[in-house]
Amino acid sequence: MDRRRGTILFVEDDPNDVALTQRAFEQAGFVNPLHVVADGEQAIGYLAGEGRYADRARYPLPILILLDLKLPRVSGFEVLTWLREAPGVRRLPVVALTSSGQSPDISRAYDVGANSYLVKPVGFERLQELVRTLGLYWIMTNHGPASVEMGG
Amino acid sequence: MARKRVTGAAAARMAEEHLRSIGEALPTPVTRCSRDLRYLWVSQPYADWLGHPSEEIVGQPIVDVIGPEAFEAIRPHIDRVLAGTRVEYEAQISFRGPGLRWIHAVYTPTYGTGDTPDGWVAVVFDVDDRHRLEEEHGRLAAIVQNSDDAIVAKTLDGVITSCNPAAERIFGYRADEAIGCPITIIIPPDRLDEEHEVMARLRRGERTGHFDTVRKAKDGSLIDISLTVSPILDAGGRVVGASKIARDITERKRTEAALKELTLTLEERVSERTRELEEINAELDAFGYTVSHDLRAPLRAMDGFAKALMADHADTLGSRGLDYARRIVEAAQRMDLLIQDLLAYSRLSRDELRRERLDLGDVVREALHGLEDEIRTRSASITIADPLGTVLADRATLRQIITNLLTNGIKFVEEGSTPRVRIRSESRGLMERLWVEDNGIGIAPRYHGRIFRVFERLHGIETYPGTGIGLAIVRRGTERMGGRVGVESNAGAGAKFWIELPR
Repeated sequence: MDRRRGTILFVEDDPNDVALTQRAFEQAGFVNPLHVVADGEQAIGYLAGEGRYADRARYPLPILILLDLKLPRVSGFEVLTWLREAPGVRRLPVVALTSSGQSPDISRAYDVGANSYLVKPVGFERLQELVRTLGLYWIMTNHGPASVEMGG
Repeated sequence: MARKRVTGAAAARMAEEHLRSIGEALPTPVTRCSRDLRYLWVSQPYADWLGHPSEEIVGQPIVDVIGPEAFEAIRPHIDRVLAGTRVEYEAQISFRGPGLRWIHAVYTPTYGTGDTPDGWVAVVFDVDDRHRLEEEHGRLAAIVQNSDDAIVAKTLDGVITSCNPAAERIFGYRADEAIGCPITIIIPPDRLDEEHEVMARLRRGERTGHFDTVRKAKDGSLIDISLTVSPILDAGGRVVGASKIARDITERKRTEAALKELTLTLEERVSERTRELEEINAELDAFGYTVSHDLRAPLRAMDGFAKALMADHADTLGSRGLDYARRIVEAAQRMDLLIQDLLAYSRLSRDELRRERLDLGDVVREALHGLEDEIRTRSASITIADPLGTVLADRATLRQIITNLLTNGIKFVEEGSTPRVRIRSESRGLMERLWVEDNGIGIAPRYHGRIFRVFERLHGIETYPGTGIGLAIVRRGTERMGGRVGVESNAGAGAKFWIELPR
């Protein structure tokens, strides 16, 4: 599987952040499909392959999850907690991408299994910089877990 | 008054001798004086009392021996005895020799051959000691009479023998009613055992240190009292009775109860207040979370989309449109700075600090590392007067404080001049003082008190950008670590900021 074409699941409820992040991805030259879900419930549905998400041709398992922590209905922390217990997907790399730089949030995110923690910057140049670095590392450099590579 | 006259000189002399031998045999001071106010003879006790040998007294004028003051005092009595009256008096007189004494004197006229007294015999009792005892007794009695505490004496059988006015007032019995009655009239039935116990100890001669108990008044009401029971001893040291001193402590008991009640409500109020504060703290945490999450999201959008406009639609926007978009970006970035600083400030006020011994040089270099870009952009020159001292501080907080001071030092310079910042430290007693000195625009002394407050800015955003929180963080952080901050500066002459922390 070519990681450069692998899907990235983007869990984000703020349409502005979605639009800006997509723009940053495009400008950085990454072509990975960015699948956006707006709350924790949908994120779990997608990863569990429930309902329409059962169609893995249209909704493939992601090579990376970008997870906002403050989400409607089911929070990012809860998604993470669920994910780390879920068979088949529990090893998926998760990058928390959130507004909060508060240390209790950071600690809690790692406690429930985040692989990385990034704070959304104010200032588009900084967002571009962040997305570029993120892509270089998590898409181009990092090796994903075998089960995901094999298609779940 | 018929009196048998002795006739004849021989008989008179005999009588005189007789009188003298009786007088001299008495254990009391006795003297015989003549009508011309001289001593005819004195008994040995009399001579002893005046403190002179009798030879020096006999034949002398009375006034010369006892002094004019005493003589004046007894003169009226002498006049009366010489008028033929027996005189008896008690007076306090200041004698030359014995000094001021209470005496009890009896003057008896003597008759020689004539009908008028030829002199008198004076018997003098020195009653000074008795008077003093009486005075002392009077004083003690007055104390008992005037005491606010009830004082009741009783026999070993428990019969009341005396009681003072306070006892009458407190227990409601008049003294004449109470005396002769058993003490049990003022003891509630359920306290009789206590009385037996007290009396048993008393017979053994023990005093009962004061204890709180209850007594019964004549009208049946119960009175809280503090009681002391002491044995009354006779001259031989035998216990013959007891004195009870009772203090009415109804008022005190009431105060104690009120105080206890107050303490209880106070505790309740404190714990309630603590609960409230905990709630407020939790709310503040939630508020901080909301601020950091939600308030910044719109800013990212403002900044991001304004920049997207500038990048993608520059030709349609025109120069004015581009300027507006740039202003939106700047406003968003300033707002973001404000939020970040506010968060840092509130975190600083609440977070637990971990104090450790830190080398100021290390922390200063950490802070400089974080400011590398800014220092390069402004071509600022920073010098450190090594070695710097050590302090007890929380590393992250201290780094933040030093960063803010350095940022200020670099920022507030005249346009076009190169910022020069000098860092040094000095020991002051138990504290280490870190100086951050710049060559900037300085601060007029009248602003020195204001600059450490939150949101105080002395300059417009255009001239010197900033949030007005940097120095507030410096102060709050330093004070939380047990230190102080200060500044020495004049307008246009650079500024010397200092922080002082425990060494």
